[in-house]
Amino acid sequence: MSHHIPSRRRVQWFAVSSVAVLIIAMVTGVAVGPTSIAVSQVLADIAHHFGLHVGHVSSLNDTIIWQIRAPRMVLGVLVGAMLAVAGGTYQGIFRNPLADPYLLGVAAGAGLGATIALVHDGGAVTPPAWTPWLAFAGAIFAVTLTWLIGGQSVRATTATLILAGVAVAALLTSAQTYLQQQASAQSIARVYIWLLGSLATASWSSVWLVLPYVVVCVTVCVAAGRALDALSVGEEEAKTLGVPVRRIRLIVIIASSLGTAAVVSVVGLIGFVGIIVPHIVRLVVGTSYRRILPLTVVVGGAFVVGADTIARTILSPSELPLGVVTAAIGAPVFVSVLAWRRGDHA
Amino acid sequence: MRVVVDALSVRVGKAQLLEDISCVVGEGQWCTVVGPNGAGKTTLLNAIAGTHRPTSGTVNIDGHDVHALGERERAGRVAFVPQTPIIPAGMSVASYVLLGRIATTGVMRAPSTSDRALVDNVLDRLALRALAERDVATLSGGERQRAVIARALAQNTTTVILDEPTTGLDIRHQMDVLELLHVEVRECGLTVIASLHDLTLAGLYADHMLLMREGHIALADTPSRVVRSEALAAAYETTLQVVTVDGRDIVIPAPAR
Repeated sequence: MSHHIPSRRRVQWFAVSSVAVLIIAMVTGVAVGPTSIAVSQVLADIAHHFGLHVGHVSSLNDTIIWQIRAPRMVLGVLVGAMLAVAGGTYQGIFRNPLADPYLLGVAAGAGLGATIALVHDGGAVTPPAWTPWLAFAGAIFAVTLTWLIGGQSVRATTATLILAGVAVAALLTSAQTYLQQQASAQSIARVYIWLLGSLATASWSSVWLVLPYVVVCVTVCVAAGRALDALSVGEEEAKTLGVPVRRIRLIVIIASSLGTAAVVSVVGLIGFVGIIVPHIVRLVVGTSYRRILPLTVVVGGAFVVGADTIARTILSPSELPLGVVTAAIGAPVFVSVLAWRRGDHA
Repeated sequence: MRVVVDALSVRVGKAQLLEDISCVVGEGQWCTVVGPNGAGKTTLLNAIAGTHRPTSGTVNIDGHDVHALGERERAGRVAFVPQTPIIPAGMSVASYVLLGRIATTGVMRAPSTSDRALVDNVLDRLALRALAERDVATLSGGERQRAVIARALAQNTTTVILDEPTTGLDIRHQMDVLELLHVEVRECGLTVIASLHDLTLAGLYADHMLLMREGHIALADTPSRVVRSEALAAAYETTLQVVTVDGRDIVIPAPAR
C-alpha cells in the first residue's frame, strides 16, 4: 500500500485529460456513423448553432449533425454522468464497493413500468410515448418501497436498506417477468431491447426532459462529497463528529435515485457505468469523494459517449445494445487500470 | 461540575447493562473507569458520550443534557475516542484530524483558515506534523492512536471520552498516549473520562477512579484507595497485591500457590 495519497498534481492532470477525452469523444461521435462527416464540418456546424458563422455546411449534414447525432452525444453525457455519480455516491453512503445506481430497486421498478407500457401497447412498431413516464413512476415507486421497508425506523442501517432493496428488486422483477411472459413475441423482443438500453431514440426533447433532473441531482451528489468523506469512519463515529448521518443519507439517496430514474426511463437499463467509472477514478485519484465525484461526472460522460459510438458503428448500419458495449469495453479497461495501479504502488 | 451523570440505567432487551449510575467529574479532572470485562465500562462511556441512549437517567455536560442535543451540538461539547476506531484507507493524517472540525464548520463547508490553524496546532502538540501527509491507514499502532486522539482534540471540546485508549500499544506508547492527555488536562483544563485495563497505569494518571462491577459502581474514590480496596480484587474475582515503589502504587496479580 502506498504511504502517501495521490498528489494534487496527479488529480489535476487526470481532470484535464478527462475533459479532453470527453470533448474528443463527443466530436468523434458526431463525425462517425453510416455517413462520415469531416471533423472541420462538425465544428463549423456546432459553431453555426452557437451563432458563429465559419465555413459552409450542407443542410443534409446539418440535419445529421445537429438533429440526429449531437443530441445523442449530449444525452450520452447526461446519462453517463448521472449513472457514474450515482454509483460513486452509493458506494460512499453504503461504504460498499459493489453498490451501483440500481442498488435500491430503481432498475427493477423502471423495468416493470416500461414492460407494462410496452406490453399494454400490443405490437406497435414504436414504443408508446408514455413508456418513459411509466418507467420513471416504477423506479420512484421501487425506491420509495425500499425506503419504507428498510430505511425508516430508528434502528435502520445501510445494511437493512440494501437488503430491503434486494427484496423489492426481486419482487418487482418477478412481476415484470410474469408480464413479459404473458405477452406476444414482438412485445417480448421490445421489452428485451429496452432492458438492454440504447441512446437510439435521442432527440433534443429527450435531452431537455432529463437535463433538469441530471443537473440538480448531480450537483447534490457532488456537494455531498465532504459528507461522504466524513462517513468513511463509519456511521457511529461520524455521528460523534457532528455529521447528521440520517439526513445526509436521505438527501443523497433521493438525489441519486431521482436522477437515475430520470435517465433510465429515457434510455433503458445501461449497466456497469455506475460501478466501473467510480472505481477507475478512485484507482487514479485516491479515496476522497471530494475528488472522485466531480471526476466521475466527466469520465462517466466520456465513457457512455465512447461506448455508444462503438455500439452504433462496429456492426453498422445495425446497432449493438449499449449495455453490451459498456460491459464489453468496461471490464477490460477496469482490469487494466487495476493492474496499472498495482504496479504503481510505492 | 462539568460532567454530571444522574441515575443512569441502560437496559437492552432483558440485559441490565447499567443500573442506577451516578457520578460527577469536574473541570480539568481525569476520571478513569476500571473493572473486569463485561462490567459495563464501554456502555457507560457510550452513554456519557451520547452514542448510547439510556433507558433512564441523564448525562449533563456543561449544563446540557447530551441526549437532548443534536449530533452537531453534542460534537461541539464532547469528543469520543471509541475502542476500535474505523480507520479510512487513503485519507491523509491532516484530513483525518480535520474531521474533528465538522461540528464547528458544518459538513457542507470547507474548513476555514482558523480550522486549519487549530489542526496544525494539535498536530504539533501530538508530534504528528511530520506524518501530516501520510495515509492514516499506514500508520503504526501508536501513531494511529495519536491521530485518533488528535481528531478528538481538534473538536476543541471541554470533555473527551476515551474507551481503552491504550489497548494494543506497547508500554512506551501507552505512556505516550496517557502523558499527552495528562498535559491537556493540566494545561488546558480538559476533562477526561477514560477506561483502562492496566490498573497501575490507571492509578498513575487518574484524579478519580470508578470501579465497575456487573453494571454498578462498586467503588468511587481516589486511585490509591481504590487499588488498595478489597472491592478491587472482589470485582475481578482474583487476588491482587499492591506494592509501593517511589510513592507509586503498582498492582500485581498474586496467584494463590
